[in-house]
Parts: sequence; structure tokens; C-alpha cells
Amino acid sequence: MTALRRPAPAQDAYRIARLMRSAGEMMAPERLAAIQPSRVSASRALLSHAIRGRWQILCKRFEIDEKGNGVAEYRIDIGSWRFSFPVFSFEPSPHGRTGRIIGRAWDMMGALIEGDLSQVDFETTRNELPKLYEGRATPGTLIWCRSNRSGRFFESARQALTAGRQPDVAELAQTCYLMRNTGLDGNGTFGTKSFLAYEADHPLRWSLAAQMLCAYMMRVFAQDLLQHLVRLGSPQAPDMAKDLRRFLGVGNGSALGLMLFVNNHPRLIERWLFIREEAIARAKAVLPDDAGSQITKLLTLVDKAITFRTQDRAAYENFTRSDVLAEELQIIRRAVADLLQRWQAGNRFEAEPFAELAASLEGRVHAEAMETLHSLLIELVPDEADALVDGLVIDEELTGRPEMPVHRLRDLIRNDYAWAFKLNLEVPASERYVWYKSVTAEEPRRGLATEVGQNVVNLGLDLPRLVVALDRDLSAADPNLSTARFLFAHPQHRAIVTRVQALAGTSLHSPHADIMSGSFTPAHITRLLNVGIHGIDKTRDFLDRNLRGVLFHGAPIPEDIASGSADELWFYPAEPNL
Amino acid sequence: MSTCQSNLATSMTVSLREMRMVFERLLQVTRIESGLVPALRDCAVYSAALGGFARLPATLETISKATPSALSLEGSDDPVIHCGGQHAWLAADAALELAVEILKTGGRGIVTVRNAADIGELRVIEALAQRFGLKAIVAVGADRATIAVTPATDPDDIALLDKIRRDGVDVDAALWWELYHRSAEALAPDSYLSRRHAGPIIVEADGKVIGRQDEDETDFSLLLADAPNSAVSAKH
Repeated sequence: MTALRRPAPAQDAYRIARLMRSAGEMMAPERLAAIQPSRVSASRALLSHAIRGRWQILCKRFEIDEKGNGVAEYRIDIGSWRFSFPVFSFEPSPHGRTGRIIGRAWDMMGALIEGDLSQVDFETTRNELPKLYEGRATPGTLIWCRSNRSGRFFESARQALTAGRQPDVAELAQTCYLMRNTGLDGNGTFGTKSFLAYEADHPLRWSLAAQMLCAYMMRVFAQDLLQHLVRLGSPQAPDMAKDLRRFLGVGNGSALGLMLFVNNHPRLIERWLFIREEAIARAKAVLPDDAGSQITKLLTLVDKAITFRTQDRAAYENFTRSDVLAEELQIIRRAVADLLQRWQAGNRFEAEPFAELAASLEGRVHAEAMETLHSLLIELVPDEADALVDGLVIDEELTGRPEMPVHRLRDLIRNDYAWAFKLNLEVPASERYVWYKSVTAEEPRRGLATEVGQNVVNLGLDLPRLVVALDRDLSAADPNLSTARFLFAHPQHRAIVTRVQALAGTSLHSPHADIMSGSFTPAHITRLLNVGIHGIDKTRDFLDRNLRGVLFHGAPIPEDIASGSADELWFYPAEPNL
Repeated sequence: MSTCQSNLATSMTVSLREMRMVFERLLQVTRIESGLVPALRDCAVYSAALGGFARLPATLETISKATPSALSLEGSDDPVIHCGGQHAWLAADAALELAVEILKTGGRGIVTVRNAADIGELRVIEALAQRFGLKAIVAVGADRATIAVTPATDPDDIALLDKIRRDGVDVDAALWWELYHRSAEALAPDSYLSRRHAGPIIVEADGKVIGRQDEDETDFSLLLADAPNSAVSAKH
């Protein structure tokens, strides 16, 4: 019951397992949406690795004119590994511009490539990148990416620096970024290297690491571009303040495609939710030292979160406002402060004070505040959390068990998918939604079946109906028949049977929801990915289906990382006071 | 430092992910039962990896006319699958699963397949079996094939998937792009109505915007093309 490579002793394993939550408590979409960024979120995990390894990021060339056209190239040294990040920069154009992937105008395109980049490969990348779906990456390419400037905020910052003053923090804090990611593609797409082909000692081998490094490089480039353009117009202009550079992250927009990602990556979802739960459980099991220094650390982090929420200037639609969460966090603060006081006074009656703290708050505070506490608790076990992330090398191949008797398969379904049988699935087909991709840029879309039409391929995984239909046919079969022989008679069930059998024994892989229903909110699952797994802050919701937020908000800048002066607890930054 | 990449103009290397995406879409286009698509997609991947890329268009044409229920099973310990002239891929997973079941429940792990179209394609079972940690030998005759599975004893016996992940599969570039473009038939046509099914804002034909526009720089002409009686066709 451990995801660590070196299993804990049996007694500890039992203790950890006992402190972990069940799928029934976690897998409702609204509950998954409440999960907050933490040390095991991909962007934060990347920075933990970078800080620990003192990664070196060097700008090798920056040849961009005052309109924004030109090229740049960066070198990234990670231990004995070297990577190149060529950038192709373009003058912003209003034509064909949108945050959706149907956009046809990008302000930058880049690539993360293994090793030093030859001039030939640099030019090939320059020619191939704009072709996207019909382009081919050069050898050793891990990721292709593209992003757009945040026109208003980028220009505002540029004008301020050109005029000799620092940008207006209050204005920039509305979104907290200069450029926004509009696409990160790897794992074989466009001929990039397959993730599972990364070598055993590859520093970006763990899940989402390569994409996150690419996103971090977008942030580096955005700030360098701003400073470069300012200097072209005003050689005496000041540098942007380092505190502001740390405060500004890189934007990210995500939407319906992440639901399809969850459908297609059940092992990644399961493993990530599992290691987060394991890290939280390990933190809950920590016994504070005599001074209560772990409680003091937690109190400091809760204070940081309260300040962060209090200062949040983002506008939300249906998501809970930050001022509400700041109030909820005050309740948590009082509980932590009380624990610290008792602990330091010698009143230590709990065997597991952090577990007791969490249990005492569960149900009393907003789910997002509770998940904030859980995320902060993980900082009490940083080494264990980092080790858990390193184990996120995931093979999504699903293999069934042909010898399994029908009665056993039926038991599995009734146990693992009990939630599906409780749903009302009798929604008329005309009232169901269809998940599909447009021929235009393969944009994922979701519309009422009556609007989409019958000839469109539904790409959404209708898990509850597939499971219920399978159970119906299983119930009519000989209970001792093998799965192989059942599938011979019912080949239409092959995909769902394989999935059920391959994922048996795991429980955190699939949201408990009817995603074809009008009552399903796509943004809940987008939020799980963006906030929990990617580690995006201030995710603003649009029409219950699109999210925009900021990655690396408060993260160290390259010189902090290289010099070893980076703050490990960089997240939840306070607004800089310039 | 190996990877999948472009090389010569007439040939190229495609990745596992690319093959799966294109083959899955091509199978969706055939309208075969959706529960069969992942299994048939992997038959296509392994057929391509084993040198059958050029046969794919013809195979997909056959699959589009398939009747999976035409297969029948005879015998228990040494089963025989009668394919009724259906394509070999329709029997591939069924035959392998039966062989695995028999092997794991104490039998010999042998299954016979008869009367399959393109019966040589049953050799994909040699690749499919690797996911079970098994080595399969497919002996193909004129109208029948025998599949025998045994536990793999050499790591090379179960290394094909990793090899494809690492090296990709070479393919004639023209053939690949033909398949790629044809696979787009599984995607939905773009339209004004369809564009309303995604995005942070919805723009009505009269230019009215539904949703918040903070930090939005959308060129409305992208959303309004072919809108009924569109009053707005340029950037807002």
C-alpha cells in the first residue's frame, strides 16, 4: 500500500493506509475540483527538482527586432544533461488571434530539445514548427510549444519600464503573467520523443516534467523579451524588479480536452491522486518535535495562503471567491495556532496531532480551504513527496485477464463501479451531450446531441452506461464462463472489460460522474488537472468549461535557481511592494 | 537520444502515439462497434510495425464491411474459431484471449482459426501476446492458422512495444499523409454552431458576447464565419 520504491515497514504502511481517503470520498467531480496545488503538482515538483539540482539556464542568443520578430536560443544544463530551447518570436497580430487552439497567430513558438542544437536543426525547427500537425520535429525533440503575449499587460509593463518606472503591480496582478501558453505537445506528437522512451536517468522522465520545463522557459522568454524590447526603445530603462519577476508566472488556458485526457490516462490520474493522498497521510503521521517546529512551519504556510487569497484580484464566475476562502483559512489558522500553543505548553494528548487537526476541521470549512490545508501539510514531508513524484513514470497500456470467470468480473464491477449503478442514466439520448473534436485544429468541443448530429463520433467515455450494459450481459451469462469466452460472444464489450480488469485493485482513476449529462460541469475536471496536477494558481472559470490561470506564480527566476538562493517555499507569493 | 523524426522526403518515421491516433480515427470512420476499436487499432499498429503498413487501406476497407457476430467457436480444450470469411483482425484478440485462458487454466494454450480473410494478418497475435508476458507462435496455412502461446523466457520476446516507442515505425511518407488526412473524417466539420460548443466566450451572430472578456483578445472573425446573418465579421 505504498508508492515509494522502498516500502515502509508493515506497521508504517498500515498507519499510512489508514490515514488515506477512499475513492468514495474523493472522486466526485466537485470534490476533485477542490484539490489545490501542492508540492506534488507538476510545476511545483519541477521547481523542487530545479532548486535541488541548481539547474543552469543560459541565454545563448537573442536576436529580436523592436516589433518582436526574430529568434532566441537558451541552454539548460541539468546535471550531465543538456537541453536547448530555441525560440521563434513574431510581431503580435490581431488577425486569427484567440486563446483557443483554433487560433492561427502566435507570438512565440519554441521547442525543448535534447543536447546542443546544430544550426541545421535550428533551421529545420524554424521551418517545421509553424506547420504543426504536418510538421516533423528534429531528433531529440521533447516538446513543441507556442504562446501569446497578454497584449494589454505586456504593453503596460513595457510602457512603464520604458518611462523609467516599475510596472503597476495592481494592474499586472489581475492575471499575473506576461505571456500565456497556448499549446504544449510531446510524447510522439509531430515526431517528438515518446515519454516512455526517455532513458532511465533522464531528468525529465517523470510525468509532465518536460511540458513543465517548457512552460517555465516560456516564462523566462516572456520576461527577457519584455526587457529586450524596453531596452531597444530606451537603453537607460531600469530592469524589472526581481520581486516582480518572481511574482509573474506564465499564463495557461485549458478547456474540454482535459476531460478526454482523463478518460485516456486513467493510470496517471490514479497514480497522481494516490501519491498525493500518500503524501498527505505521511504528513498527518508526522510527530512534531518538542519545540513544535513542524506546527510553526504549518502556521507560517497558512498565513502565507491567507495573504495570497486576501490579495487575489482575479475575477471568478462560479468558483469560490478568494476572500471567502481567506475567511475559511482563518478558521484553520486558529486551529493550527491552538495546536501549537497546546503542544508548546506540553499538552500533547494526540498520537497523531496533524491527523487529528485535519479530522477536526473536515466538514467545518470549505472544501477548497480543507484541500489547501492538505496541500500545505505535504510541505512537512518534502523529501518523501519528491520521491513519490520521481516514481511517476506511467505506462498506460491496459491488459485484461481472459481467464477471469464471469462471476469474478461481475463482482469487480459491482464493487469498483458501485457509483455508476446509483446514477440516473435514463436521460433521453436527445438530452445527452456529445464530446467531439472539430476538424479545425482538432479542438475538443461538447454539445447537445441534437445540435451535434448523429454522424459525429462521440469521443467521451460513457463509463457508467458501458459498465451497466456490461453488467446486464454478464448477469445473463454462465457465472463460471471465462472472460475470453464471454467476449467471444459479446465482442462489443472488449474495451470496457479490458479497462475494468486492468484497473482492478485501483480506485482513483475515474471521476464518479455521467459526463454525458447536462448536469455535469466540465470545468470541474479541467480544474483537477490544472490546479491539482499542473499546479496552476488563480484559475478563473469561463462558461463552466474554460479555465485560465497562472503557472510558476512566485517561482524563483533562473539566477535564483543557479545560485542556490531560491526559496523552496516560493508559492503563494505576496504582491511585491515596489 | 533516439527519437521519431522526419528523415528522407519519401519516407518518414512515425511514433506509436501518432499511429494509434490515426488508426483509431480510421477505424472510427469504418463505423465498426466502438468497443472493438482499441483492439483493432492495436492490430493495425502491430501489422504496420511488422511490415504491413501498405496493406492498411485495403484492410480498413474490409473492416468497414465486417460482421463481427459471424465468428463462431467450436470445442473447449482445443478450440477452433470459424471466421466465416471475416478479416483476421476480428479473430486476433479472441483467439489470443482463448489461448491465454487455456494456458492459465492448465491447458496447452493452442487455438485454431479457420476461414479468415487475409489469414496471414493473424501474425499480429505474436505481437499482441507480448502484453501478457507470453510468446505466441502463429503457424499459417492455406485456410487455417494455429496459435500457440507459452510463457516468454527471453526479454526480447516481449520487447516489440518498447522498440516501437523508442524507434517508431518507418513508413512511406505519401502513404502516411494519405492515411493522416483520411483519418480527419472522424473529426466533426467546423461550423458557427460547433464553434459555440467550446471557448471562454460565445459570440452571437449579431455580435453580442456571452461570457466575460477579461484578458480575451479573440479575433471574432474566427468565431463568426458562416454565422447566420452575421453582422460582425471583423475584430471586435
